[in-house]
Formats: sequence, C-alpha cells, structure tokens
Amino acid sequence: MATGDSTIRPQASTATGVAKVWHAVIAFFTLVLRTNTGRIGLAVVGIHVVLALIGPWITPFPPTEYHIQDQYSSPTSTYWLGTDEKGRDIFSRVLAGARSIIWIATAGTILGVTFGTIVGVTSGYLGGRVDQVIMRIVDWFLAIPSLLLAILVINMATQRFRSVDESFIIIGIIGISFMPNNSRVIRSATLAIKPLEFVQSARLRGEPTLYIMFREVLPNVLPVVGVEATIRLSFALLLTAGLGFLGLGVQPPEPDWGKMVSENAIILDVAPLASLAPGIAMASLVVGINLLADGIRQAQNLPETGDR
Amino acid sequence: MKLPFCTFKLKHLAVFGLAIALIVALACSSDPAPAPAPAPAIDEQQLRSIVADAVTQAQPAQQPQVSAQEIQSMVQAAVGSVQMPDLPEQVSASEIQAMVESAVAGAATEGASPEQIQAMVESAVMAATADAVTGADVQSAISMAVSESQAGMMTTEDVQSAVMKATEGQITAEQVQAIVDRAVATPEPAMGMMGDEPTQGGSIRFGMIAFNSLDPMLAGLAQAEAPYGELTHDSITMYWYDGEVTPWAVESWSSTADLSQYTFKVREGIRFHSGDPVTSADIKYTLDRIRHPDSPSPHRDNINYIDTITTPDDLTVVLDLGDPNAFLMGDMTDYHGRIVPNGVSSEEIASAEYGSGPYTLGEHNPTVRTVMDRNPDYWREGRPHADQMVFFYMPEQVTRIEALKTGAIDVVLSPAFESLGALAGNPDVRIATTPSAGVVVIDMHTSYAHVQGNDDHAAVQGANDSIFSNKNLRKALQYAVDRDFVAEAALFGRGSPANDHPVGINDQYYWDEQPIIKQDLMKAREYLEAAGYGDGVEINLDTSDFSQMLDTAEAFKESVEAADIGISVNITAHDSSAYWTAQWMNPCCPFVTSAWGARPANAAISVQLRGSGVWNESYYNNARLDELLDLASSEADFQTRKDYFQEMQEILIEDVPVLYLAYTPVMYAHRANINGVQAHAALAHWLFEEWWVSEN
Amino acid sequence: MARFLIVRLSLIVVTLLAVSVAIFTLIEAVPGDAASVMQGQQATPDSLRNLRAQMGLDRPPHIRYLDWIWDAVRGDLGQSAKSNASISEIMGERLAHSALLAVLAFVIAVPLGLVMGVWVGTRADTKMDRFLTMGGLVTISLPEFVTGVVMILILSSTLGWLPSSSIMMPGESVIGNPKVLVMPVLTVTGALFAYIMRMARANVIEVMESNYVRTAILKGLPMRTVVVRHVLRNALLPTITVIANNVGWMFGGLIIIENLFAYPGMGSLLIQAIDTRDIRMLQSTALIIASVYAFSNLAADLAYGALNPRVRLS
Repeated sequence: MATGDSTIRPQASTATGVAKVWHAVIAFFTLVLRTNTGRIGLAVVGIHVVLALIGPWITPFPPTEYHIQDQYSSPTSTYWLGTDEKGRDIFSRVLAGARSIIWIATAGTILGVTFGTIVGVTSGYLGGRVDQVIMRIVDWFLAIPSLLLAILVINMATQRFRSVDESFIIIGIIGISFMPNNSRVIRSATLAIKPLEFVQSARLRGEPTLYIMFREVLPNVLPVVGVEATIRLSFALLLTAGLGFLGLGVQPPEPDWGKMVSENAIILDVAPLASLAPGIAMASLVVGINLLADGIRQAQNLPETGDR
Repeated sequence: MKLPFCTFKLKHLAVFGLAIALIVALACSSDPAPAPAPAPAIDEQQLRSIVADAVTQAQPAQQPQVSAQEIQSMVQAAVGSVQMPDLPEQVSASEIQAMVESAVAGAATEGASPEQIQAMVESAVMAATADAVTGADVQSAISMAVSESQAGMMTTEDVQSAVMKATEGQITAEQVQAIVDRAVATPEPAMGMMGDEPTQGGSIRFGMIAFNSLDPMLAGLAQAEAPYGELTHDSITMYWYDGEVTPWAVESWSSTADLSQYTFKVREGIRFHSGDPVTSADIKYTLDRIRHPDSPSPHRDNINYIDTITTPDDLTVVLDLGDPNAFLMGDMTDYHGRIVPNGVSSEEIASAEYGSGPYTLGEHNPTVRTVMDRNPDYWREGRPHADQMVFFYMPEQVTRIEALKTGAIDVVLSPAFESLGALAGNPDVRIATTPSAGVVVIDMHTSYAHVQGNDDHAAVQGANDSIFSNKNLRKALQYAVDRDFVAEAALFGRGSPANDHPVGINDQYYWDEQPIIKQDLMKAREYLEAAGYGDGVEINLDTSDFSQMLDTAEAFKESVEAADIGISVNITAHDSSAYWTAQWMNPCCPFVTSAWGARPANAAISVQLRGSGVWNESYYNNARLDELLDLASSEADFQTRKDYFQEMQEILIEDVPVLYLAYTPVMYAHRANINGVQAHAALAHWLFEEWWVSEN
Repeated sequence: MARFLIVRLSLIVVTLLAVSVAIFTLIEAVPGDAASVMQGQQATPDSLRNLRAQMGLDRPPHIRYLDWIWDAVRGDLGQSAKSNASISEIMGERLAHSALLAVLAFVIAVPLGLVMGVWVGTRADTKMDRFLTMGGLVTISLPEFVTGVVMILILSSTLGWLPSSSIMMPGESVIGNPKVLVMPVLTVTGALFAYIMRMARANVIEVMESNYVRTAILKGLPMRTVVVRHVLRNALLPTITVIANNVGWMFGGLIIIENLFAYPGMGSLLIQAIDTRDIRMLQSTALIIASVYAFSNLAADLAYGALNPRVRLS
C-alpha cells in the first residue's frame, strides 16, 4: 500500500491502510456532525443500522413463524405491530427485513460507485474518441428506465445463474444501473482535475496512464465519489424496495419491505399495519440517508445534483 | 337434515329432479353389469295396483289444466319424501303411489298421450319389480321423466329408456339417497332469502384476467377463454354439479361390452348460431382437430387413444378406441372439446365465434371487454336466464376485488385466497364455494430412467436421478409435514388435508377405508435415518406465485422445519411465466410445487402418475400402477374398477412419488343479486346458464 | 442549429435501436415465450411445438427481430402475441392514460415547485425555509408505494372518498373517471414538486450569491426587480434540466405507481408484456418510454440553449 510520493499532489497521504480508513471515517463524521440536518440524519440511520444488527436477538418471534389462530391481529402486547394474513408477527418481520435491504442497497451502491468511478475517470481522463464512445454507451444505459432494465435482467439472471443468491443479482443490477449517472458525475470531476498542474507534471514525467488515472486523479475525485455514494444510497434503497414491491426481492418467506407493502395492500382494510409498518420503516430510512447526504452537501457547500 | 323448501324456488326443484334423474340414469348406463341384489322394496302385487290407480287417474288429468306450479309442488313433495329423516330404506307402497301420480299428472299436462304415459309408468313398474329397485329409484326416475318432458327436451322414448336405465338396478337406495341429499342440500347461496323464480334479463359482469384465443381447443385455464367456451359453445358431455357425466350435445351413448367402441347419439334440435344444425360430422370434426398430429391443443394427448371416428348418419358418431376405455365420456367433458362446425378453419375459429351455446359473441376487444348476448334459440328450454354476459379484463387481482366490492362488476371467478379477508365483511358480496378434488402438491422426481431416450422429455436426457429416488427420504417427508397445518395456512382455512393421491374425497373411486396420513415425527426420523440423512438434509424447493403454490411452499417449509428433525427447506420462488418451462418437470428442480384442478380419479392418475403420463411431474414409473390403470380402463364392472383404484391409492400412499398436501375448494365471489350461483367442483365447469339476476 | 438537430436526432435513432436490441436480447434470454406462457402448466411437448409453429415462434430470434423492426419501420407495430389485438390500438390508449397522469403531475408540480423554490430561495435560512427544505427532503425520500399506501388508507379506507384502485370499466377513459386519477397524480406530484422546489431553491441561492446579483442589490434595485430580472432567469436554467431528467425518471416511477393503483397505463402494460413474453408489445412499450426520455432530454437542451445565449448548440 505504498503511496506515490509526488509532492505537488494536494491530497497526498502518507498514512497506511488502517489509519487512512480511520482518517476518512473521522473526516466523514466531522462533516456529517457539522450541520443539524446531518445530525438528525445520522441519528435516524444509526437507529436503523443498530436495529438491523441486533435485530435477530430482539425480535419477539422468528420472522417466518406462523400463528394461524392470530391472523390479522391488531397490535397487542404480544404482537407489537399486529400480525399479517398468516399470523406472522409484523414487528419481527419489519426488523428482519431491515438487514437484507440495508445490505443489498449498500453493497449495490458501492459496486455502482466503483464502476462509475472507473468508467468516469477513464472517460474523463482519456478524453477524445474513447470518451465519446463511453459516453454514448452511458447514454444508451440511461435511455432504459433502470427499473425496466432491472426487471429484465433479474428475470434473466435468476434463471441463468441459478446457484447465485438473488440478493447478489440485485446488487449487480444496482451496480450496473447506477454506473451511468455516477460515471457522468465522476467524469466532470475528472475533467476539472485533469488540467491541474500535478496531473500534467505526472504526464510530463512519463508516468503510465493507468498510474496517473488511479494514483493521481482518483484520490482527488474521492470526495466527490463519497458524496455521490451517499446520495446514491437512497436511490439504491428505493430501487431495491421497488423491486421487492414488484416481487423481485429476496426469496420468501424471508421478509422484504417492498414485498410486504405490495402483498399486504390487499388486506389494507383488515390489517393496515401489515403494509404500513414496512412502508414507514422504508421511508424513515431513506429520509435518514437523504438528511445525511444533505448534511454533507451543506457542510461542503456542494450544489444539488440534477439527476436521479 | 334440513327442509328449507319454503324458501326454494320451484323451478329449481325441477332442476334438481332432472339432475338427480340424469345422474341415476347415467351412473347406471355406463355400468351395465348387475350388482348384487338387495331385497325388492315392495312386491309386484302392490306395484300393480298402484300403477292401475295411477293410470286411471292419468286419464282425467288429460284436461291440461294442471298448472306448472302444481306439478312443481308434486315433485317437491316427492323429493321431500326422500328427505324425511326417518325415511325407511324401502319406501312404502303409498309413497310410490303418490310419486307415480304426481309424475303422471305432470307428464299429462305437457300433452303426452295416455299411451305414452301408460308406457312410461309400465316401464317404471317393470323396472321396479326387477331386483334392487327402491322407491327412491323410481321416484328419481319419475322426477326426471316429469322435468324432462316438461322441458320438452326428450321424447317419450327417451324418457322410457331413461327410466329403464335408472331402474336397472345398479344403484342402491343409499346411493340414490346420498345423491338426492347432496343435490337438495347444496346451498344456493344467493337465493337463500328470496325464493323468487329465476327471471330472464339483466346482465352479469365478470372481472377476468385476460383473454387469449377464441379457439376453444387452445383455451387456457387461468384466463377467460374457458368460461367463454362454456357460454358460447356446447360440450359433447358435461359434468353436473355433483360430478356425474351428463348428456349435453350428445344425448345418449352406448359402448360395446369390451368398452373399445362407443356410439354417440347427437341431440336433435341443437343449432349453431349460424342456424345450421349440430350434426355428427361437427362432433367428429371437433375431435379430429384436437387429435390432429399438428394440433397445438394441450388436450391432444388426453384423447389420442381414440383410433377412428366415423359418422354413419347425421346423428350418430362411432368412436373406435384402440384399447378399451371406460372413461371416454368423462374425457368428452373437457373444455377444449367445445363443438365447432365441420370444416371451419382454425384461422376462422380464432377470429370469430362459431358455437351453438347459450350466448352469442357480441363486441369482443381482448384487452377491454367481451360482450355475449343471450341466444333465444338455445336448445335448453328456459335457459339461459341472463340477457347478457360481459367480461371485463382487469389483470390486477386487487382491481377485480375492489371492483366487486363497489359493484362495478358482479363476479370474480376464483378470487385469491388472501383477498377473502377483505371480502368477508362486505354485505353485498357472497362467496359460493364447494370442496373439490383440486389439490396443491409437491412433486419429487423419482427416476428418469424410463424417459431416457424419449424426445418429449428433452430436459432430462442424461440427467442423474435426484435424491428423491430414495424412497425413504420421500417417506420421511410424508410423515414430517403437518397437512392440517398446510391446509389451514396455505389455503387460509378453506382447504382440507389430502392423502398423497389425487383421488378426491367425493370421487366414486375414493378408497373409503384408507389410512389417513398424519404428521408422525417418530416415523419421519426413522425414515430419515434409513435414507441416510440421520444428520439432517437440506432441500431446495422451487415454486412460483401461482394458484397458492407459494403459500403452500411456505407452509410446508414452516411445518417441516418447526418439526425440528433435521430437514431444512430453501424456497426459491420463480417468475410464473418462466416456471412452467424452466423449473417444472426439469431435473434442475427435483422438488417443485404444482397445483391441479379437479379431475376424476382415472384422469388424474393417468396424466399425473402414469409412467408415460403427459404431466408425470414426478417422473414416477410403477409398472403395477400402469397396469392397474389399464385394467380399470377396460373393466366394465364398477366394483372391480373400484378395487383397482383402491390398490392404486394404496401404492401411491406407500410410494409417495408426490406429496398431495391439501385439497383446494372451488370459489366464486359474486354480488348478492346474482342468483343461482352454485360452485361447480369439476374443472372448468360453471353452468352459467343457471345464473340469473334479481332486482337488488 | 439544423446540424445540431440532425446529429441529435440520428443519435436518438441509434440509441433507440441499441435499446431495442438490448431488450430483445434480454427477454430472449429469459426462459419461456408467448406460447409457453399461454399454455402454462397444461403445455405438452407436442402442443407447445405446434403452437410455436402456429405463432411463428419457431423461427430463429434474429429473423423475428428483423421481422419486427421491418414492420415497425413501416409503422406497423403488429399484433399482440397474446390476444391478436392491434398493439398500436392498445398502446395508444395506455399511452394517453400515462401521459394524462404525467402531464397533470407536471402541470401541478412544476409551477408550484418553481414558485415555492424561488420564494424560499430568496428567504434562505429563515424558519420557513428550513421547514420547507426539510419537508421537501422527506417528501422526496418517500417511496412512491409508501405515499400511495398511506393515501389509500386515508382517502379510501378511512374517509371513503376515493376508490382504492383505479377501477375503471375497461373501455372507459380516465377522463370520465376523474376520481381514479386523484391518488396516482398526487403520488407523482408529491415527489416531483418537492424535488423541483429544492432544485429551484438551491439555484436561486447560488445565483443570489453571484456578483451581478450582489451588484444589483447594492445598486439599490428593489428586491422584486432583482429576483424577476436576474435571479429567475438564471435559476430556471438548471431547473429545466432537472425537469427533463425527471420525465425519464417518472416513467420508471410510473411502473410502480400504476402497479399499486392498477392504473391502466404504460407502466402496467410493460409489466404485463414481460409477464406474457409478448415481445412485440414489450418492444413497442419500451421504445415509447425510451423515446419520451430521449426527446425530453433533447427538448431540455433546446430550452437551455434558448434561455442561455452563452450555450451554442453545435
């Protein structure tokens, strides 16, 4: 993990692995905690993450356990949020559902941002014909609504790669469908850095292109990448939940927030919480993430981005 | 026993009478061998005097002023007598006398000549004096005679022969009683309080999923085509509500003693909507289209045992079967076999309606709606009731349910089980339901050896047998699952546990003394140990969100895992559009869910479990089972056939190639002002022409 | 300008072609075709083979694709594999329904969002600003189906004012059933409005901090004049891009909204087409959505150019 030792690089770090990560984490939290928005966001997301982590130890019931005699129960001291049409405890199901959606959305975002960064840096740095071709392909991706793309690819992939867990496929989909927008953002950040002195001098030194791209340019677009990732995370959550809503989420009987909303919508008159509770959980998580992103934006004085 | 006669509409009783009679007649006609004879109910002497009286009374009754209502009440009384809880097995002479009287009186009003009446009664008496006839037999035969002659559907000759058949003595008093009970006691949900006569008029609006093809032979079950087929076309035969084959476009049939040749007599007076009469050539053409080697009809493989079809005259069809088959008439009820006119091409049939049924096709827009108008010239007198039937296409379940709740539509056929909770509280919505032999199952691929080299099973070529070729594992699962739980949880309390074979509880071949499988964890553990999975086994269960299959899979998993005997189940739910091509009957997925509509015992076992069965989902191959199916097919004697079916059920329970978990009921959700709605247990049968609309 | 248009239009054509190839390839890769979906569980190897032959599905995929594209180029979208109904007829109606939904949402959300955005933008860091930005953020964050379910619960289940799904007798048009439009339109509007408001606000704040606005304010121009003359024009530019981008986003969101309310638009048609493997229907639907997206982007660029003379369209 030795870093290059160019002295003119503005964000050259001499620290090694763990310390560097630690540094970044501290920096992230300082940034977030600087604004009220960020603080509220962090609190909301924090509660979600903690509940997701300790969920299995605090759920009153296994999330898939039937209580046939107690179907459509309203909230009681036994079933805090009532039960669904199979008498499964809604509270336990909502808690358990947090894990999968947070994991899928986070992993998908990381993947998408990684793809996007590689493509964006390459395209932005190399420029010319390569840039044109890459951006054209990106346009094609953008021309298909990501939900449609996701539905088709998931249908295909779950059939073709049967041994692969469905959640990995969804993660892959999020990665692919986020790549275009990400790469555009990263590309423009790269374009801003490319003419800077330290990049040009590295070129004059005769450093290999790959080296310049990933050792000189990349560290300097990382703040943009970070903000982008936070914003993307909320879209990833929405996409994951949307897919679940359309029945393309995690495998039953494991709970999935989106799916719980859609399959229980038909019993809204009888057991409103069965679809309301996961919906509210979902909404609060996304609100939390967006507040977090907004906090960072405010702290860094970044403009809002225009694409979703 | 309840006697809600005051609330019954009289015409309905006539219908019941007709139903009963037809059932009796047909049950016997396809079953010509005599059964062991119980003691005669009454002696010849008594009968003679009854008939003498009846015939003398019949003469004055010639003045045709007995009103329809009076006849109805007579019939009602006749049927009622059978309902009496303390009815002796063998009716008294006076009861029979009353029955015959009412029958004669009824027949007389329709202008039957004294000779005809005399002949009818004589034949009834002749039959009655033969062995094994009870009062109930006579009564139902006569009710039928009355209602049939009233409806003008049958000639005197027909009535006579029907009476003959009914009284030939194959049926015991108990059976008749049971049939009558069932027919009379079956709730008529919507008319409960009203007791009105069915009225003609009004329109019935259905919420349907979608419509594919107008061609009946391509009809799909989940869509609107099968109901469309029934509304606009006639069937060769139909199942009546209780599952007995009933004459329809073919009014009678006979077979050679060895059951390898059948002769159909086509009902006279049925006309296609074009005005042309339905003839034997049309029936031949209908069946030939399906049997053709290039036929895309899924029904083809079910009737390809028919060798040749000939039409000696306009009203006679002769079917030569390669091998004996006792079940041909049941196969003729299939919804793909609706009668289309001879010579009309497939393209034409796919683009317009060519039927002869109770409704004619009006406006048809397959993504919006289909309107069907009452056929005033329909051959069944007084049918259909409603002036118009309209299908609205609403692919979303939730829309259909919502529209039903608000009254925008009147009927949803097979509403989703999970929507019942939402419908239950609505005072304007009724659920008509009946238990059926429809069943949710989990298949276990037992062996691929017998289909290796068979092009029709391309997917399994070269595949190794799955872990389910291990019978002990199958037995372990058989005892590990709690069927009561599955029936309750997967079918929302409306199912009933099934017993690892597809024979429905009301099927005549159901083995009455069969051991009912209950969850038995001791046995399950033993079998698991014997299977070599003492340390536990992890099983992948592939399923799809279709016909309660996903709910079944989830309930199965929950039940088996809660038993905590080392079996764990991973469910993979697939897109239902891909499931039937990519997972079902594919060695990738040796443990899959499936769902079956109600079929009679022989059809169910032959398509699902015969080694060469078209939908042998578990790749089961048992030489003895196949042999028993052949034996039953060529066996004329009912009891012997029943014995064969008993052995088949024994084999299936012992061998468990398929976990038949729970029987699913047939359900229709309808608005309260739609009357005459009776859930029909047979696959794709509704008898819409009996439905009618009341004011509110 | 003409050259710009020609280039852009030909790029759109190429993009649409690429999209159609991608979708065709993806749907071909999924097991099951229109014939197998039609027959489902009752399919037998024979019946399936014969039905495929009858429906022309036994031809190789590239032939079927070329066949479709040849027909499509001549303006014939063909018939639905499922029901033999004319695709252009079905789609015309569905497209009208979706467009009505979208247009209504835009008509409500855009002016409202812009006005509110500008209004709070000029009052940055007041209590009202904080309240509205926070509220907007929450609204944006709500998944469409959550907003929808909450609305069904309040407006339909509790108050009984509206039908909980867009039940419309088939053949009837949305126009005759304004009630069914309310909840879908509100759902789309909510997120859209909040989004536009936030964008407009951010742009206004940015412009307000720019030198020329400062100068104008220091010059003593009344605030109203400053806003109208300088701020509005410059703040509108990026907002227009956002609106154009949202057209594409909205068609994605429509899939879920139409699904929840069972609204008979393009989104639900698309899902049906996938479920029934009705490739022609799917292709046509997806292409319409892709072209709406492409053309709205083009329109945005043109509008951007018109409003900002510094941008040369070349």
